[in-house]
Amino acid sequence: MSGFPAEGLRLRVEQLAPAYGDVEANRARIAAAQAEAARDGVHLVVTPELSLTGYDLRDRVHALAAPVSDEPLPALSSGPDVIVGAIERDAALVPFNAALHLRGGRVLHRHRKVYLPTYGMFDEGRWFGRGDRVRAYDAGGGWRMGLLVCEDLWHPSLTYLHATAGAHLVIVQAAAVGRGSWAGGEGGGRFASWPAWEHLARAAAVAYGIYVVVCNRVGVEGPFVFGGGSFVAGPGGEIVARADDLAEDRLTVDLSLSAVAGARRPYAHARDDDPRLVQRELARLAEDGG
Amino acid sequence: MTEGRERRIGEIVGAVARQALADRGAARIALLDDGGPEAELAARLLEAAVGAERVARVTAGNAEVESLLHLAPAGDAERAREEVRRMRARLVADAVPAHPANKTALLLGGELPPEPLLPLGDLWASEVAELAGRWSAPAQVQRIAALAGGIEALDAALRAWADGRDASALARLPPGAADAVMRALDAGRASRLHPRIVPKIGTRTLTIDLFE
Repeated sequence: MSGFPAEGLRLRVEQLAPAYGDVEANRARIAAAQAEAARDGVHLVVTPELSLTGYDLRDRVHALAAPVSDEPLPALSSGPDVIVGAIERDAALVPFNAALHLRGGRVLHRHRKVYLPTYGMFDEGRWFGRGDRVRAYDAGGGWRMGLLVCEDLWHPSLTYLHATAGAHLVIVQAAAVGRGSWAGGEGGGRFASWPAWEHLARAAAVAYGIYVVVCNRVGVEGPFVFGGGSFVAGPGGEIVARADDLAEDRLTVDLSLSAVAGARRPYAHARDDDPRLVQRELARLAEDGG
Repeated sequence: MTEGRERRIGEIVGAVARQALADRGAARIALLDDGGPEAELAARLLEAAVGAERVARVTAGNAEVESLLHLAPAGDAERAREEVRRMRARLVADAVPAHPANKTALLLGGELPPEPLLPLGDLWASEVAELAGRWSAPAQVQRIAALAGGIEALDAALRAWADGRDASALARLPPGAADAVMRALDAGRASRLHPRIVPKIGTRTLTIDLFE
């Protein structure tokens, strides 16, 4: 309950298939995972995007949205920290697709999904309000963290903001559909959509010397088969662990601030980055378009 | 080469089929079976996923077809057989009807079939051929494939157009084939936009803006 150790921060990725629209069942499932994680000495459990509700909810978004609250969730108040995916409703009754870091059942930090995919098979902009802030936060033991949700990773400016704010660990919740069964891997054994996710995460990891954890879901909703393949990218850009493509699976990895420091030592990217230059140039682009 | 693909495709098709049954509370899938390679492949994948006893392969009896021939346009026996299979599939108790057509046939075959489950609907004909040894499609689609120089050439152009978003890919087909593809795509466009037609009368309408 008091935060994380600097060395040996044991993180568990729970690659789940959330029950569609059944918050009670999902909460119980996550609580059980928390209890098991406690027995295994895990400090932080990560679950996928909208792990409390399911994904393609459409009108049910409103019925499943919970008001923003700082009251603890009793069902998730024991055991290690857990990052859940939930629908939050603000004072204006707008629902948001949110990642919540819970400690002792209370919200330590919340991130509302900024980039809502509304193209192709996706229609999130129709149902959710858009998050308007990206904040890194202190999680204890010297760890600084940032949360993103799915499409947010495809906008490297958000990872940059977390890194610039000093994050050592960026957690990405996802509900990514597996695509490209024909083309993926040798003989079609993997999804062709995964290498792009891994490139994005590994590029951020190696550029900023951070851990990037992508926790995707599995399961089926209508015609959509979610692709699993959750992974952890280390601060050197290497894939530390990778989960099964289609089945429920679990990754457990020990993270270390020393490894972050070690990855940054030969380079000075984080040190030399100049946000004022970025701010100046972005202001110029916004002003005159180039 | 195709083992991994068939396994993965079987996993995907099977998972969606199981979910379709669960979502509808149905016991089985009624697969329209014309004896073609798509029906064979679809049956193989579906039976592996949900069990052979839960896949009803629906064929058409000759007597039934003959009794309907006078109603089919130009005495089209294939069309009559398809409609007999369709009717019988709808009458299978507690079932989700499924049509085995491949993606090439669906794109170029005019109106989409009305069956709710199209298990091979995202597999090109040439991919079916790789998995099942051959492919099939309505006669009009086979004629277009011949004009294009074969199913591989036709599917390559369609894939570049659909998946690669290459707007000029179809125009690079031989002139006769390009025109025929354009006409066929136009013929089915409306049904692809709105696979189920519901006249909008109220404020929120099924398949348009009511998804509760």
